[in-house]
Amino acid sequence: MTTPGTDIAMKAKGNGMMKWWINSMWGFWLVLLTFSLGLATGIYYIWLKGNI
Amino acid sequence: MFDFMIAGVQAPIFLLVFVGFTVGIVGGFIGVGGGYMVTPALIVFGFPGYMASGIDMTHIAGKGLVSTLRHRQLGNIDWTMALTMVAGTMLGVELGVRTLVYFKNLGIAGIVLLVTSVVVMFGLFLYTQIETRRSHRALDVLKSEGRQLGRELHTSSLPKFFQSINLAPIVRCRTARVVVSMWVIVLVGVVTGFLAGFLGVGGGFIRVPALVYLVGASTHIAVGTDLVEIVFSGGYGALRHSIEGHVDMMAVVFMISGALFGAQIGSIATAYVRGPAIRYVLSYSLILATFGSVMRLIYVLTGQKVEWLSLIAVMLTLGEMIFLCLFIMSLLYFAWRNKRGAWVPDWVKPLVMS
Repeated sequence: MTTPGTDIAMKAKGNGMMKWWINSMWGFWLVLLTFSLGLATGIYYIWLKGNI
Repeated sequence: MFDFMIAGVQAPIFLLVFVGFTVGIVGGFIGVGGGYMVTPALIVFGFPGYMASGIDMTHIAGKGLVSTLRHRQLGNIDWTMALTMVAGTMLGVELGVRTLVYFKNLGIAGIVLLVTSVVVMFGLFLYTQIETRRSHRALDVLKSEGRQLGRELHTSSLPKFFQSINLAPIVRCRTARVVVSMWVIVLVGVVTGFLAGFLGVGGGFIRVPALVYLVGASTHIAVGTDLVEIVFSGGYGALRHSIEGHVDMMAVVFMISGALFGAQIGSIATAYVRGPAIRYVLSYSLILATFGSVMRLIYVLTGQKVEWLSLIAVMLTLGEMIFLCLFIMSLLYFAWRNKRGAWVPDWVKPLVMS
């Protein structure tokens, strides 16, 4: 089962890889999750390391 | 920098405000207290477990009140449903706590709790995700046919079954536009209250899908109505924790200062999206929390020796809050662009109000 929007995004003319990340729900999801986990890792190393 | 001692902990103030703000947005948007995110985060910050729980519960009570008032203005609360459910919730919580004590006496409470939370959260994620995708596709089709879209669409057939139970007294929930047996609402309260009491959480992430898929309320009404429950349970929890000395008001003040803004943004954001958007965020919240619990479960089962498992659980807890917050803010931004007629991704169009 593909994510809603994926088919349209893949069929659209001139869609590069970058546009796929935004135009597909999965892509957008992955970009945000990667960014969030990266930020969480940064917060951990800057402020929290040693508390656990 | 900007740190000082709170409850004997060198607490990073900026992080307390940040957690309050992000969880405030998420809580106001999907109608949860966010205890399953905040308590582990506070433990990571260095607060002892009992203190983390007390601070979390007190901040949830304040934040829940702000979100409830805002949802009331938006017309998202069905008081008949909320007050009927409170009775069942109280009974359920009591049963849940007693069951927990039973497992505690057997010495297997920790494992049973983690396994139950993983099974419940993953089950809810699966059902919510599958149903929401179906609704998303249905909205997509309706939109492509040029039909007028309402703010809600769900494809589950369960509400029809529960609404057909003809057991007096029958309750008419005017705001939710639902006519259902009072016992169905009470039963939903008992079951969700049981799970909440057993798992030691507020239970919003169980009650919202239950109100949508069992009672047949719209997602917006389920969110607003659930927040009323959270004010009751959070208020009582805050009082109990305060009496026990588990609350540090300084930490609560910092968290609430962020949560007050976050809760308003999250609540108002619901006015710009359709029901499936809220259910998507809820299901993402569930799957990320499930992964966190699975990591903690493996960590416990491996004798708490594999340190990186605990670290991943921490990353997931913090990452989840940031991710959900960003996703909601993105939806809000796309809704604003959509209203102006600017370009938005195709998958967003059926999810936001036009």
